[in-house]
Amino acid sequence: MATREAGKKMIMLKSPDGMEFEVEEAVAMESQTIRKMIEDDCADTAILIPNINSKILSRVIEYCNKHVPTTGATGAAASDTVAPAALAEDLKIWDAEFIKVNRATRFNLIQAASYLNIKGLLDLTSQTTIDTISDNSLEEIRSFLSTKNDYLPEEEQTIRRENQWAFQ
Amino acid sequence: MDHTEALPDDALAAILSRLQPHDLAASRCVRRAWRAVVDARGLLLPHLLRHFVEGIFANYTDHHRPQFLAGPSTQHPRVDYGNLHFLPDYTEGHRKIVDHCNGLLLYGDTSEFFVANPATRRWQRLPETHNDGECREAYLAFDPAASPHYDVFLIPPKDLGLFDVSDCKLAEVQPEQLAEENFTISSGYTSELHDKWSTEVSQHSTEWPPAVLTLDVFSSRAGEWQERSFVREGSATRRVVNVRGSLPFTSIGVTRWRYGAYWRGALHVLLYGGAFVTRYIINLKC
Repeated sequence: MATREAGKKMIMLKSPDGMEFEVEEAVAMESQTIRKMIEDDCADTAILIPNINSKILSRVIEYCNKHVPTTGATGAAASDTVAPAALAEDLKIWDAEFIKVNRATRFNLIQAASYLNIKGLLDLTSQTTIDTISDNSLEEIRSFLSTKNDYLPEEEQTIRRENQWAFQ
Repeated sequence: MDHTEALPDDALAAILSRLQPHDLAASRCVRRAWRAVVDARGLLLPHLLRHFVEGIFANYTDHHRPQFLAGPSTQHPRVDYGNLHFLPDYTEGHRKIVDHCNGLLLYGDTSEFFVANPATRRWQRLPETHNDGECREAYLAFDPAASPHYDVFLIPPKDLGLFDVSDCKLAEVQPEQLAEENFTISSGYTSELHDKWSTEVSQHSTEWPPAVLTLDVFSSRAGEWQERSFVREGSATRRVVNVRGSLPFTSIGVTRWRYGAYWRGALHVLLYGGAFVTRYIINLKC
């Protein structure tokens, strides 16, 4: 396994389009999927991340780099000088900038966050979609997401009626 | 372009599972793939099962309609759960809330029943049952986690009093206790003819429990009353003799002699003043 200075373990991530990313193990382990691979000793060589292209994977790594809990010499120094609340506020601002992407990229990020099981990134990327759905009519939801209604009218009525029975 | 279409089910489920219950339910209507994900993964189940008590309905003998006793709703301030005026003849009628199950109410008298959801104000009048003058007790079974359909069971008093029920799983009752006892029943109920209550039924001997018991069941899926048979499990059969007398049984009048609850796929009914419990196993699943 590749190692770098200060004994930090490095992990190689490969995207399907052939790009390789060397990241600290702690950063890669922000993904529960990769964490499990590492813990099961399946991560000796480079880990191929299927379905996530290099552009998206690099953004995901960028997110994990920012969100990895700071430990070690530099981490200790950082948390000594910056109050946790300020750190959280800083992260929020960073997240807000990070998520300023087009819809296609956002859905790619959701897919990546879901596959790699990175809760924070999934929360962040799916929030816009959740806001789109919440408290809106079916027509609005479909229009916002440019998704098509593939129900027959009577089918849709039936499902709407099911909801009428079920909810308190 | 529809980007949601390209999302794998896992990712779609991850988004949808973050929705509030009502929005999640609505999302089932957006498109087929969404409903498939919500249903296959049971995303709605935790919400459906998280019930809360908004209040209680009280039936009065000297008041023409049930009253809802509750403080202002904290969960859904906009919903007036106690207001059932959307039901026909609610103000003037003398019907009762005869049963409830997981948010649905069964409202009616001995011959006419309504099922209503006070939150959504959806209601349905059940078709008439064949009226042979016998008063039957109605029980409602509904489990939104299993199916959007409900069942209403009619159990005649003789079946409650005689333990003529199928699938008897008796609670803490030894078989020998059941034999050679005197049981009381009322066959037929007429409010004017109180003396009928004490009419003696001719002495006879009855197998208990019967191998097959047939009850009238309204299934909302079928939209009609059907006869449904319950087959006894096990072979513990006793004979019940000297069946006579009357049971203090009435559903309109003073006493409510019935206790039952739908729980975990079965309707549990207390018989003979709570001496016995019967389980009617119901398959509500789609």
